[in-house]
Amino acid sequence: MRSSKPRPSTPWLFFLLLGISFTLLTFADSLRLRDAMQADLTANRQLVRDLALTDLALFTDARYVRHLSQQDNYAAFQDHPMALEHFPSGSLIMPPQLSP
Amino acid sequence: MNHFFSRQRYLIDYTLASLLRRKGKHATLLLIYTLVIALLASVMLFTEALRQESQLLLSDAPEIVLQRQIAGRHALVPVDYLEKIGTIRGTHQIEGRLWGYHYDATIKANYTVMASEEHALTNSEIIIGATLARSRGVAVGDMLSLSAADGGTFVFTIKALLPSTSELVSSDLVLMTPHALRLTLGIPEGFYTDVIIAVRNPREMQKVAAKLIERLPDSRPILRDEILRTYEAVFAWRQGVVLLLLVTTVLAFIIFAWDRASGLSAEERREIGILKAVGWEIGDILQMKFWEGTIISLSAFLTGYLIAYLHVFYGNASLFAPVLKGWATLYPDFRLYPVIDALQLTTLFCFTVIPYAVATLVPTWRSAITDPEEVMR
Amino acid sequence: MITLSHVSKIYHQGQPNELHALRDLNLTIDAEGITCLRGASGSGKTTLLSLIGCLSRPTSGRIALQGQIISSFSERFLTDIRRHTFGFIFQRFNLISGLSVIDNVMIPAYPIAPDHDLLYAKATELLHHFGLATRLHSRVEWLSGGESQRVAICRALINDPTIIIADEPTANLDSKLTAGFLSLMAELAKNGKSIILSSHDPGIYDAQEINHLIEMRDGRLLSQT
Repeated sequence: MRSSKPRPSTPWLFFLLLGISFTLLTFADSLRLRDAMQADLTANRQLVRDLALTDLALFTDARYVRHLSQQDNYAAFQDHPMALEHFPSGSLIMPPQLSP
Repeated sequence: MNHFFSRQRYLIDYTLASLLRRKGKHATLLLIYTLVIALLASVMLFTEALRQESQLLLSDAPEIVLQRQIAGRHALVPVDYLEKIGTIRGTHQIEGRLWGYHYDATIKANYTVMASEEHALTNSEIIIGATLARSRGVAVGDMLSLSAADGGTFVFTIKALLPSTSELVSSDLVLMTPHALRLTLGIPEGFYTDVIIAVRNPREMQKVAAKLIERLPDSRPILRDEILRTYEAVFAWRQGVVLLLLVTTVLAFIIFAWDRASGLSAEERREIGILKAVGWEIGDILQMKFWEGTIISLSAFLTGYLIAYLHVFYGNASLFAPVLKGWATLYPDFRLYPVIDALQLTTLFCFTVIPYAVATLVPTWRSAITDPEEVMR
Repeated sequence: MITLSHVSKIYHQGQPNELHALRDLNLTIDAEGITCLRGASGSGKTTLLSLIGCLSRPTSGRIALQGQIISSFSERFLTDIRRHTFGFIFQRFNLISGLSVIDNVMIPAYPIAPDHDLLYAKATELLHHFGLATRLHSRVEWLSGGESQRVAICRALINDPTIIIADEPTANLDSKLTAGFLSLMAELAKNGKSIILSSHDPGIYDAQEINHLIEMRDGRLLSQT
C-alpha cells in the first residue's frame, strides 16, 4: 500500500505547537532578561537616589516633557481643544488629572 | 474524545486545502493581519515595560520636591526657605537642589545641568551622560565648552561618563560643582532651583505637604506618589493609544465581517450545499468555517506576538524610537525591562482573534441552514 | 424498500411562484437492482429523488425507508441516514473545485472521521478501480466530463452506501460514456447496491440493464414496471 500524501493539518498543527511553545517561552525568557538586568537596575536606583532624580530622560526636546513631574501647572489644551502639540512627544503625554 | 480530535483534524485538513486554493489572497491577508498584531503587541509590551521600569526606578525619587512659583512659573527658592521648612515637624534632611537647562547650540540639544557634591569634582571638571557624550562625540579626558550666563565660555574637562546602562535616567545630564553651575546657569548665591525634603514618617507626607503650603503660600510641593502617578498615567495614556488602535482594528473587522455577511459568494454557497448533500451536518460546516477563521487569526496572533517580543526586547523597539524621539536630539539608548502582563496578552487575543473567527462564522450560518437539495437544481 | 404514501411537495408555498412539484404520490420502490425514473423535465423526478435521499422533506405525506418513517425525523437524524445509506451522483457532478481528486472523494467521510490511512487507502482503491489511478492528485477542474463523473461515483461510494441516487447522471455525457456509465452501475448493482436514477434519455431508460422503470408526469405517477 502506498503511504498517503502528508496531510495539510500536520505542518499547521506543528506550527501551532511551536508558536504556543515559543509564546510560553517568552515568559521564561523575560524572567531571564530581568535577572540579567537586575544589577543595572540596582545601580540606576542608586543613581536616582544620589542625584535626587525625579524623571526619566525619555524626551529631551522640551522641558515640560523632560521633567514631566516637575512641570508648571498647565491646562490640558492650552489654546484650543483641537490645537496640535508643537512637540511630537507632547502628544504622547497625558493631560494633568484633577486631584481627587 | 479521540473521535472528536480526529474529526477536527479532518476539518482542519479540509479548511487548509480550501484556503490553499487562493494562496495569494490568504497569504496577503495573513501578512497584514500579522503586522497589525505585531504593531499592537509591540506597543503593548513597550509601554508595559516602560511603566514597570519607571515605577521601579522612581520609587527612589525624593519624597517631596518643593518648588516656588512666581507668576505661575517655577522660580528660584531663596535660602531662607530651607530654615522655614526646617521648623515644620516631621521633616528632616532638607536640601536645596541646583539644576537647570542648558541649550547647546552646536548640537541643538538641551542638557540638564545638575550640581553634584558626591563626585569630588573640581570647578573645571564635569561628568556627563553617555548619550550626550555620544552625540557630541566626546570621551573622558576631552574638553567640553559651555557658554555661560554672563556671555563668556567655560571649558570643562570630562572627568567621567555616567554608565551607559543608566541612559534612561541620565542621558542628558551634565554634573558639575555647585559653584560652576551657578556661574554657568546664572543662579545667584542664596538661591536654589528647588528643595528636596525627606519625611520622617511616610504616612505624614500629606500633612507635611499641607503645612508647607500653609507656611510658604507661594510654594508647590510635589510628592513622590505624584511623580509615580504621573508616570503611571503617562503610560496609561499610551495604553489609551493602544486602545484606540484596537478599536480601529475591531472596527475594521466589523466592516470586513459585514462585507462577508452580505457577500458570501455563489461559489461558496454552492460548496456549502455540496458538503451538506454529501453528508455534512450544519455543525460540521460551522466548525469547518470556525477553523477557517481560527487558522488565520491564531497563526497571525502567535507570529505577530513573537515578532513583537523580538522587536521590543531584542531589537530595542527600534521602530518606535523615531516616534518617542520626536524632535529630541538626545535619545537614550536603553534596554527595556521586560515584563509581560498575561492579562494584557489575553485582552489582545480576545480583541484580535475572536472578532475574526466570528466574522467568518456568521455569514456561513445563514447559508448552512438552507436545504441541501438546492445543489440538485 | 422505500414506500411513499400520499406524498406532496410544494415549493414557495403561499407565494405567487408556488409550485406543486409532487401531488399525492403513492409509490413503492423495491430497491433491488437499478430503478429508473423517467419523465420530461418538470415532471418531479428531481424532487422525488431529493425526498428519497433525505435532502429535503415532503410538504405532506409519509416516506418510509426499510420500515422507518424518515419524513418525521429531525435534521440531525436525516443527515445521519443520508450519510450512511445514500450516495449521490449529481447532474453537474458538483465536485468541489480547487481540491484534488482524492480530497473530493474523501470529503463525505470527514465528519465520520475514520482512520486516515484506511480512508486514504479506500479512496485510492476506488479511484484505481474506476481507472483514475494517474489522476489522484490532479485538481478536479482539469478532468474531462467522463473522468469527473467517475470521481463523482467514487465519492458516492466512499461511505459504503446501500442506495445510490443519481439525478440525470448522463445529461452531460455522450452516448459512449453513457453506455460506460450504465455498465458501471450494473456492476455495482450486481455487488448488492441499489441504484435509483432519473433520466429522460432513451439510451438509459430503454437499456436492458434497467430492472424497474417508473414513469412520471406533472408530479404524478404514470406507470411502474
